[in-house]
Amino acid sequence: MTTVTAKGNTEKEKVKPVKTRLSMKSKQSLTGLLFISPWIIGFLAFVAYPLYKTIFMSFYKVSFGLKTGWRYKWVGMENYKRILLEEIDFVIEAQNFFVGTLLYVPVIIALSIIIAMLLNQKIRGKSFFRLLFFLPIIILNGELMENMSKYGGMSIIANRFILDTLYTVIPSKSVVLLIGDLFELILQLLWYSAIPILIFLAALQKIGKDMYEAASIDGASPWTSFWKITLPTVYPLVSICVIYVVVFLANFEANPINTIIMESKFDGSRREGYASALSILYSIVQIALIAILYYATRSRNSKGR
Amino acid sequence: MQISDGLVYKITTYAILSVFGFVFLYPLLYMLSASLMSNLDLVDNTIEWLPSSLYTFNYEMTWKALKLPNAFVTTALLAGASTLSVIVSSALVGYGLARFDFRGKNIVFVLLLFTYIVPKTLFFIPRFEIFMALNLKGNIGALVVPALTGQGEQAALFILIFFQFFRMIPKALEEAAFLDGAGAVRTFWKIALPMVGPAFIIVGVYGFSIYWNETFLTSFYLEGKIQTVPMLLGDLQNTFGKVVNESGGGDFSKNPNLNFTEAKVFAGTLLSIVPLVLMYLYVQRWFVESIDKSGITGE
Repeated sequence: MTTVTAKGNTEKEKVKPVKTRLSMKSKQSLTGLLFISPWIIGFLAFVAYPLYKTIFMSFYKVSFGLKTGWRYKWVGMENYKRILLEEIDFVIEAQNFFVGTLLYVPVIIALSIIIAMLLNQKIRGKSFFRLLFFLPIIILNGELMENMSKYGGMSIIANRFILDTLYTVIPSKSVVLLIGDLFELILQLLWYSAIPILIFLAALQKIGKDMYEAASIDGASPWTSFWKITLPTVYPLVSICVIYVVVFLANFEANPINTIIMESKFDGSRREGYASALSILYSIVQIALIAILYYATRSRNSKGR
Repeated sequence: MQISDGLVYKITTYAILSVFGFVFLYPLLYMLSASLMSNLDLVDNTIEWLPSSLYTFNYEMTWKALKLPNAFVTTALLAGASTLSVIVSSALVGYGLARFDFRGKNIVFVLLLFTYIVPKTLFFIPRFEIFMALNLKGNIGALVVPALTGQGEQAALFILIFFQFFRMIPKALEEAAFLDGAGAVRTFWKIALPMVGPAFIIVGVYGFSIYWNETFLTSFYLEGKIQTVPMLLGDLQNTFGKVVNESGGGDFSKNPNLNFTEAKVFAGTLLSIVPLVLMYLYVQRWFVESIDKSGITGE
């Protein structure tokens, strides 16, 4: 820049060096980091460090005495060997869990989509049914489930009246028993489906009615519009729901694996090292499950809509 | 999607929903009818659904055994404090992720997903150690402190909810505030927060019920110093006998109604869910509305 000084000479104006100020962008970054700082602290303290500790402990035989504090004895892979080869209660439960989840998840998702679609219709009493199906979100816990199932609350076989009625309609005893088992299973799965129903319902309600009207004007049958409009909208959510359901089932208190891990902590011959190894193996199983189910249901984004 | 306006379809819809609804309600109805029966009615083959008389003894005894209403208050306070902490931290973190860009933001997302997918039991034991060292064991801090730092139950989900809601606010509003000289905190407090009301409802209701029903952590970290209703429910069999003796109910061998049967379990269970159901009936309209408004289904 040139300026005219008092003497009438043009002079290059010296540009004063700017004091180092943070640019807008870095100030923004810093503020962002500040906002998530609680999370960072929490992650480091309650996730990163415990994770390291768990992996660490799984290779040791850990014991805790009130006077001596924590004692560690290196045992290498002994904990893992014991779990996988010797004391097989975990392996059995893990297999049950793995297979069970692979079977339950599709059923839960299918049920949820059907119910969500039904709840989306124009019917009277919609709010009543909604109230009903979302109830488990609020009241479901391990105790409840256990109490309900333990004393025959979930099985119609326990109720002779219904059993007899079914028997008169369907004369085969084994079929009636099968229906009874199915009833109990579906009931349990229905109670687990509450959140997926919620998610699918929210998605379905976003589809404007005009979409369907336009399709039907163009001559699409209800089946076609289901296949081409409803399903593609809902399908991407399936992978998300799958993750949610697997995580839910894995952390559920009534899950026997969790009981094994908890009890191992106190069991004198097992203690924390063993329990840590159990947790790590369990996590691997869970992550494998989620990976399998997620990639199986991921929507392919290639074909344009 | 209207499958059709026809009567047949409407009836089918009703029918399917009713069947599912019945299957669904069956346990609750069963529990209700059994809990109102005396033990004599229970073993009586001729009595299936309707008890011979409304027998409230079970409820009276379990009310005392579950230490209600004190237990309700304790549990509500515990769940409430944890929920508030979760709301605070999720709102802060959600806003930071939604509105600011910084290096490593993607890493944070990945780590967030990681904390969600991995089972609780993985961190369980070392956390116990840390809580002991920080003196958080045996008091409410064991639940509140992780919640405050974004590591509460299902915290990743709640952070995600706030994240989605914050992203839906038009940026122009915040820019206008910035031009008027508001700092980030002011903008957050006065503009962003009031606009995400539905997020508060979702996180509040769902979080509260999660913490109320949480027995895994409470039984372990609280070491019996604070008893929540679900925990007491698990103990019902033990406490029931004591309560009956204290109230002078009589001799077990003489009065068969005093035996601990499923009627008592059911009565206790139903009592324990009453507050939650009441709360739910009250807020359910807003709850579903808020889910509809959120972009959690991704757009």
